[in-house]
Amino acid sequence: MKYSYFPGCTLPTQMKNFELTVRWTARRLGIELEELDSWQCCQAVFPLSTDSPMGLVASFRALINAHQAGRALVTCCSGCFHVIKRTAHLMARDQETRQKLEAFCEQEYPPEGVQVLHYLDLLLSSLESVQPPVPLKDLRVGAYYGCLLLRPEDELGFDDPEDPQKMERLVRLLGAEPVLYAYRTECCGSYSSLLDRAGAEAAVRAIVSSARRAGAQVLVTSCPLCFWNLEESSLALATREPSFAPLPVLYFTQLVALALAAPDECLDWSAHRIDPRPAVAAFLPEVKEA
Amino acid sequence: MIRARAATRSIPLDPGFPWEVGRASGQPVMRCFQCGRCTNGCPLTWAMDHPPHRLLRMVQLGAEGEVLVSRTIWLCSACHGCATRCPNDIHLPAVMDALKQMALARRVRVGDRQVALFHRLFLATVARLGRMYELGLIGLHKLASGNLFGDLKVGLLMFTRGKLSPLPQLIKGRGDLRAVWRRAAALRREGGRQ
Repeated sequence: MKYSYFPGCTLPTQMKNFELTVRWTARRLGIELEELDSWQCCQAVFPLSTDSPMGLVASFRALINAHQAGRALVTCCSGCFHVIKRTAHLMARDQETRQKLEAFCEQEYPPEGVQVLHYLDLLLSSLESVQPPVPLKDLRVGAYYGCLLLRPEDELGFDDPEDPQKMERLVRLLGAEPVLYAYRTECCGSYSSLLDRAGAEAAVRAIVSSARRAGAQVLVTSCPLCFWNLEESSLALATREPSFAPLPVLYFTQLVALALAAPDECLDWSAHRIDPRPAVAAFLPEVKEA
Repeated sequence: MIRARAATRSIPLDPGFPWEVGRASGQPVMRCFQCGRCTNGCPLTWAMDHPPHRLLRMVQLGAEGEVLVSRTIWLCSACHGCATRCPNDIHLPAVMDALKQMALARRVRVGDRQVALFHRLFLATVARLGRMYELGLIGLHKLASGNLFGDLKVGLLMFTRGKLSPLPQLIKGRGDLRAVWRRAAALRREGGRQ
């Protein structure tokens, strides 16, 4: 099936490890992703006050473009998913804002709405019928959901906000072992890392030590901001506190790519500051000697 | 003789304020009965001048002046932990956003100027280019805030790892996008006159 794909600003620039594995897994599993033409930044934060809808313009236009192509809109970044899905929800229930945006953009929003999907859902349904060639046997994976993918539940409708299960299901489908830990739905500190490193570091310390105590060997996320905070704060903590042991962080698509035996060139490890290769050494493709 | 001395100071209260916040945010702020679940789960209370449940109580009492200069409203990361757990279904991040806009509209002293500046520059970058351009945003923020060399090491590391692109992504149709902003500004001005 064909989908309109909204990559978001971070994937093609800073997080190529995410983007490359999204595109490769989609090709491998027969999910056709067609990138939307000249999409704009989703604005990263969903505007919650009622009087200015300017923060919704980019999502509004992306939704209309996907509808004109006759497809559902798919995105992989937790931030983009959060903003675009909530915009679609708002368009269905708030006529005044919808009319305002239609006037600003001189475009009409489809009355039947537009479907917004997270790539994790597509992977889950595709993987049901696939036997992964490299099962990730005995790898203990801590799924880190964070905030944007889950809350608010009544608008995103992605998973249970206090006890989500989708990433754990994905981990099991790949032959690995999911690890449940207390902080898997807590905030990573978000943009406060730009303001005051100490706060983001406290959040990351709690998340990583909780996952490690539960036995996790790697963390898996779908949010570039969580990825950045987890890596940066873990490294800062490790240089100051010898007892703090960081955990490598992977995107969920990287885990799928490993289990589906992706070639080495799609697994871009240069974006990682904490090298995950030692933790997943048993599942890496053999690199041909030059 | 014993004289009781009250350790309170008087602050002006506006009984209309909670209703105004309720309208602007679409949230039933008067329902809060101070259970404190929002504050217990909040990841940012350490940096706030008033924890979330207290700020909401201040809104109910009409302490407009204190509320609008609070750092709390700028620090909320909208993680929605509180909104998920509130027994009265008050969506606190929506209240925080409404308060930010009221603070800007009333030109009070902004509780956290760095965060407010970041918001403004982010929007300006995206309105002009259509996509995020981190290096440009960081540069603007540093120039405007005067903090030129903070985080220099992290920035350099990100640059050398290819995490910060030297040039912005330029999309087609940037003219259309600027036209949208112009129309929005014109419609807003019209709305203001009515």
